[in-house]
Amino acid sequence: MTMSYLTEPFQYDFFGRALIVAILIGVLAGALGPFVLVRRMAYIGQGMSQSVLGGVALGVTYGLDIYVGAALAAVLSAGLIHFVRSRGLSVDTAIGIVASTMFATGVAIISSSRDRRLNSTNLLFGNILGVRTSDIVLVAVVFSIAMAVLFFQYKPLLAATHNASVAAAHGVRIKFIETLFSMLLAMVVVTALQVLGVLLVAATLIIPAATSIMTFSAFRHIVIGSMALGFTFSVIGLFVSFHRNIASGPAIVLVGAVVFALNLLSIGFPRRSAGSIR
Amino acid sequence: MIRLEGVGFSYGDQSVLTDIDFTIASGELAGIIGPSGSGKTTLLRILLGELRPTIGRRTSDSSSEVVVGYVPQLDPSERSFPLTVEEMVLLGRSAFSRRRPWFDRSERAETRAILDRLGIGQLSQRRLDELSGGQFQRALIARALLSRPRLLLLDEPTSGIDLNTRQSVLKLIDELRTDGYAVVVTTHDLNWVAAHLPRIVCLNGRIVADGAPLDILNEDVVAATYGARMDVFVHNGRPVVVDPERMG
Repeated sequence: MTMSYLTEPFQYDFFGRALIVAILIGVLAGALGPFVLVRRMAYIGQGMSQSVLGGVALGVTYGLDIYVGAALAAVLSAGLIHFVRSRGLSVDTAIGIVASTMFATGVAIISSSRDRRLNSTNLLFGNILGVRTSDIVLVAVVFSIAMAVLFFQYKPLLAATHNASVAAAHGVRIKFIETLFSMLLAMVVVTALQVLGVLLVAATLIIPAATSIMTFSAFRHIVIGSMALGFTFSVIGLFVSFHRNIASGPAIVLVGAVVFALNLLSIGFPRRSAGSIR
Repeated sequence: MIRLEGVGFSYGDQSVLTDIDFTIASGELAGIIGPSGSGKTTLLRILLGELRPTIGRRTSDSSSEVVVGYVPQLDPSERSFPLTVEEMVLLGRSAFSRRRPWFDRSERAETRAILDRLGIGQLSQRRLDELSGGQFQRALIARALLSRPRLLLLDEPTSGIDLNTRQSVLKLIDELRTDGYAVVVTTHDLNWVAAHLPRIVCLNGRIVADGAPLDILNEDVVAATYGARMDVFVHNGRPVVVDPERMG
């Protein structure tokens, strides 16, 4: 690898902006990922991110900002999933129905729209060329808020994740913590849209966390390791994306998948596979 | 310490508990027994303050709420969670600890002292899935103790662990009682509580009997609690319940 491999992308302004956003998203998703994984909420992350497409398409059609449409869709999908569950259906069924419907709504609108902002490839898989300065500001604000919440609420969040009944008995406000966590998850999904696209957001929550869980014992080390991996995957993925001329989302996810696979092979029979958790 | 007066509880139209009068005092050790569906866990959750009685009331003897340490049933999902023993035990203080991701040196020292006392101090950096059933049970008790409770509620502490471990858990529970903790234990194991606990509460939607095992355990009480006739003998001053059909 020559030095130009690392320096060449910075000749373009968009790459620096994309790198900042990708790093912030990678670290934040890395911090939340272990909680998502041990809560077995990976499917909810996937469902929420797919649902966002419908919100984005409707938002753009009616003159809203992409992020506003995405945020409204994330809130709406959470509400609809809760509503369908309250009628007696299982959570995976509820997510499947709501996410598929909202995703289909998005695809239907995009396929019939001529608005240039509704580029299906960019929305589904991310587009580093489209990162604006205003995106950096938004992601930086979300990153700061989410990391502050995680810092100050780490202990109650971990207690509630491990056993909600016991945590409640020992004084943790479970409803508050659960609402907070759902909001954090929605914030990551919405802000990751630009770089990762709606189909690959969930992977950045899962792959760094799963790799870290296989490597470390203590949960605090798992979270730190997952954040470091999220950072690393984002940086390497963006360089690969630039030089190979592939969408940023798949590049970041594939780098993570390769590291995960190598880790899996290097430790032989894993002492704790990601799938065995909870 | 905690008193339930005329307590009833229903899930929708389905009544689970009726007319429960129950008091637990400091330093008291009581076992709640009854068949599946008898309301044991519901009663525990009311004592815990997690459920509000549909009728009747739950009161405590102090102006502030009594801190309750809760030890849930052994749950495989809890045990496969990626935590070290020390991390899990420290979660007992998560609601009262300073708002930052790490715990103070004093909190870690308190945790180490509790783990040492429970005989698992050397396991503090082990992962939960590396513990035996008995060791994990002790870790759960340690977490409850770190919340500095006055009342300890243990849900089925003897299920899923071997006979030898049962005895050590029982010894530990008795030591906690002598330290001044009030302890309430639920169990299916009638003979275990009859042989070892000073007070048992026989539950089947309502309290069938409440008192010392030798005073209250007889064929009629067992039949009213479990809905089946069983023989009750006294052996070495302790009641023993035997299913006559299984004796051949």
